[in-house]
Amino acid sequence: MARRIPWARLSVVLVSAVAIALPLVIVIYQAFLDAPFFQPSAKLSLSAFRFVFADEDFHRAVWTNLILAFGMTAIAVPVGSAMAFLMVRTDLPGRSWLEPVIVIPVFVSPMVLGFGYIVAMGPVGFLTLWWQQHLGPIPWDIYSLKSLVVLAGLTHVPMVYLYTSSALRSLASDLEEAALTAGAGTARVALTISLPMVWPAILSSGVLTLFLGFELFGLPLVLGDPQGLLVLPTYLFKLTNKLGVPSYQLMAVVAVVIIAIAFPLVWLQRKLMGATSRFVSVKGKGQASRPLPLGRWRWPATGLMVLWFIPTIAVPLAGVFLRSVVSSWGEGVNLTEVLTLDHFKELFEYPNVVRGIVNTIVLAVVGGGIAVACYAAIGLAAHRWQSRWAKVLDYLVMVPRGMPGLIAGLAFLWVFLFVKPLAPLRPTLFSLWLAYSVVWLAYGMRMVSAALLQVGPELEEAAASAGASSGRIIRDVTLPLVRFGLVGAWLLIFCIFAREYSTGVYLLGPGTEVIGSLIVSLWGSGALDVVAALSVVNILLVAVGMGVALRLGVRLHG
Amino acid sequence: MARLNVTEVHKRLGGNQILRGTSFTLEEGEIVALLGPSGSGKTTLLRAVAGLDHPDAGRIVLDDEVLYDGSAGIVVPAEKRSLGLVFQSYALWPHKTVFENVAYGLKLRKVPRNEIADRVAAVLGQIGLTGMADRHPHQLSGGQQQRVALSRAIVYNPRLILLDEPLSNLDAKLREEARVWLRGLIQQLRISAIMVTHDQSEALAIADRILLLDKGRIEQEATPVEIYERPKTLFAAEFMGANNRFSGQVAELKGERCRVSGDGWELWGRMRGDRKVGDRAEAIVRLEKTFLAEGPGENRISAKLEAALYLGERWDCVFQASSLRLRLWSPAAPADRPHWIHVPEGSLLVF
Repeated sequence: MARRIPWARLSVVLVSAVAIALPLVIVIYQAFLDAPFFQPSAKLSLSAFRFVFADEDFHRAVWTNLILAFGMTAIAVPVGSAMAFLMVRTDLPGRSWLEPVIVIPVFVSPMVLGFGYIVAMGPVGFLTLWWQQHLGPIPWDIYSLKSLVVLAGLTHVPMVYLYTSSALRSLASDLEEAALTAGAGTARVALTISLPMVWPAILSSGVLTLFLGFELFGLPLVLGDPQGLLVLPTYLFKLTNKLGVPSYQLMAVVAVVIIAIAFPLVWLQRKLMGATSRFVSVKGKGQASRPLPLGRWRWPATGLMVLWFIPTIAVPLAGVFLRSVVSSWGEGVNLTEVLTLDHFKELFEYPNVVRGIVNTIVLAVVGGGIAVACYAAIGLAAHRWQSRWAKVLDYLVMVPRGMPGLIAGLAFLWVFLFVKPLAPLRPTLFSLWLAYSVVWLAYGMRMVSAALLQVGPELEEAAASAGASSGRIIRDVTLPLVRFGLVGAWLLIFCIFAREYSTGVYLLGPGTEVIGSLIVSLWGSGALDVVAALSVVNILLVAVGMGVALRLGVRLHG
Repeated sequence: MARLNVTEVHKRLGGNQILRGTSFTLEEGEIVALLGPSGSGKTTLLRAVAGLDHPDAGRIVLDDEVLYDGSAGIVVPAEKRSLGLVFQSYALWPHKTVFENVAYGLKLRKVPRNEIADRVAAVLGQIGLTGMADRHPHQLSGGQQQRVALSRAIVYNPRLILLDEPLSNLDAKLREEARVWLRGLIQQLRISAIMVTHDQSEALAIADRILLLDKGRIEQEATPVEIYERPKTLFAAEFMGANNRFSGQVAELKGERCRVSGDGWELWGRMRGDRKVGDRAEAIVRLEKTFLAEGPGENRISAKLEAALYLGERWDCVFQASSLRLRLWSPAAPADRPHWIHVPEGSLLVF
């Protein structure tokens, strides 16, 4: 029989390649021009690189960014892996309800968290005032680099936690019990057996945290601004206004620098993830995993969790909620006398805010669904495809991982300006949807492929030997079996899309407002009342998505 | 006195009563096998001794040290019991070499570095793994991994060694060799051992004493010979060996001798239970004690050949005799004619 060319699969490869490569190409192209690409006078040149590399602010931003990235990794990795061990392998009290709590920072916009830190721990924050009243001078300065590193580290603990815990979950209990009977205590078992065995996962989560450190935008924007602390993404953001005219070529150079740092790290992380699965495939005979006894460490361990939870989640979220229901705050204000719901009513006075809320819901529900459908199409195209194109697709979906949302938003803005047939779509939600879907492609694909991997090959082979074509196999066997996994992916993508803020920053315009990017722009204009109310709306929206996901038993870890 | 005393241990797991007041003892230098079908509680019992599972009630004492006492609330954690445990899956740490795997327990006991090297080398030599010290577990065969797991458990001279289905992951040929080797080694070390197994031939071959468990209770406790030849209960008789079973009625009792009869058959056997004349009874005979006979006689049943399967060293034959289905082993293929099956009176156990 003649080999048939798999047109359906190839067209998926082609479409995703265009969607992924186009923004990347345009950013790199723009970086090597001496003027914005739409000016007819623009010529190929290295002048933009020369300008940026000579800028003192850029040097400072690179330096600050290095400190931030390495500092937050040094905090997140030990805390995250210790928490993963405690949660997965021990009899820590309250494990079952703690997990959704731990992943909260993943689903709350860093803008919102940053805002929460300021209203709680800033110079006139709720917690600051309380502390000064009862305990004396406050030992922190929220606007310092030190605070930024610590808070970034604490909010990235869930990343390390998610990777390490899923590796630990696949570890056989008997390996730990063997150490226990040999005479090792629980802490010893963790340090000599459990954690070393998932070392590749820990390392890979460390690399992930490191490169997330170069993408960090919301926290440094909010916390670094008052003292002029810049990191690469905020430097890029400030460049917009630096010269007065659109300095696209300079922004492109910074974007290229960030991408050049992120790509090798993404590649390294992927290599390490591959090593993880090889390392942990030693599960013993499918016996249930038994928690290790913590004994007298039970309460100190619980203490560690609480110590992380209070500053990372409780303080900022309480700050945001409180700020959204008081009309004034500061020294000498009795909070119970200034309670109000006016800020929420105020939201409806701004037509762009109302549109932003509606757009966010539409984008998260409908857009999220379509995005998952696209991810599923890509996943199915590569599914059991013995071809080097499948490998190409596999690498292709990793590429957007190295492109932070802020840059991807900028790149897509240029795509819609540059590619004339697409121009009419720019002020529509489609532009946002495309940017969001590409930015979260790697994340979405992880969930979709995880679901597809659950389908045993023999189920599909049985259908094939009964005479079903590959299209029919997908329709009759594969899709029905991964249905639940796809619904789960949809719910998580809903949360992610509802939370997303940086991708929409450059695409923000009449008709494309979303809550995330509105918070960024309102923050810049100082409308803190609206920011607080909008933040609460944002948190509630994500909470609904997470609530449904948890209710349906969707696993929050990969 | 006994080294290990397990008294009235109870354990409930998710609504199932796994252990219902199980008691046993282990003498110095003795090998005891916990034998039973899956779900009989044997592994739970072993894990309770190891300290990996805690019973709900009962008492476990080793060498005058109370390891567990439900009423006094004493629980010595697993890492403080100083026992050696060999896991069914071996549970070798894949990120450590053979040397590091074996040395782990010594390192925890703060043994000086050069002494560790000597002791590990000695154990590996004794167990036939010299030269393998720097390998990782995945570079070893199943038999070698099993030996490393055993070395790791014995290197620090544990007070007891516990073996959880130690041979079940080996292939059939290797398993038979390993039985001889394992029993020899444990005796040589003069160590007391408890072994969990569901494989009766493993238990018969290795153990000095067998504890037969069923539904969390000890059904019979005896030497291998005793438990196979003089089972106390129907369960013990049926669990051991391959058997023919006759369901009938006690027709006559003369001391220990009794006559059981059913639809179209009657056989003399030994009464092992406490049935009286007229009671329903079950009679059991091992396949290797069921023979083909030339003609009719006492304790013989006329039967028709149904099927004969060639197994190499013997034929496995199935006969039909009125309402009974009987199996026996024959050195040659039976001819296609009416047969008589002989059950020696001393081999038929009635319960």
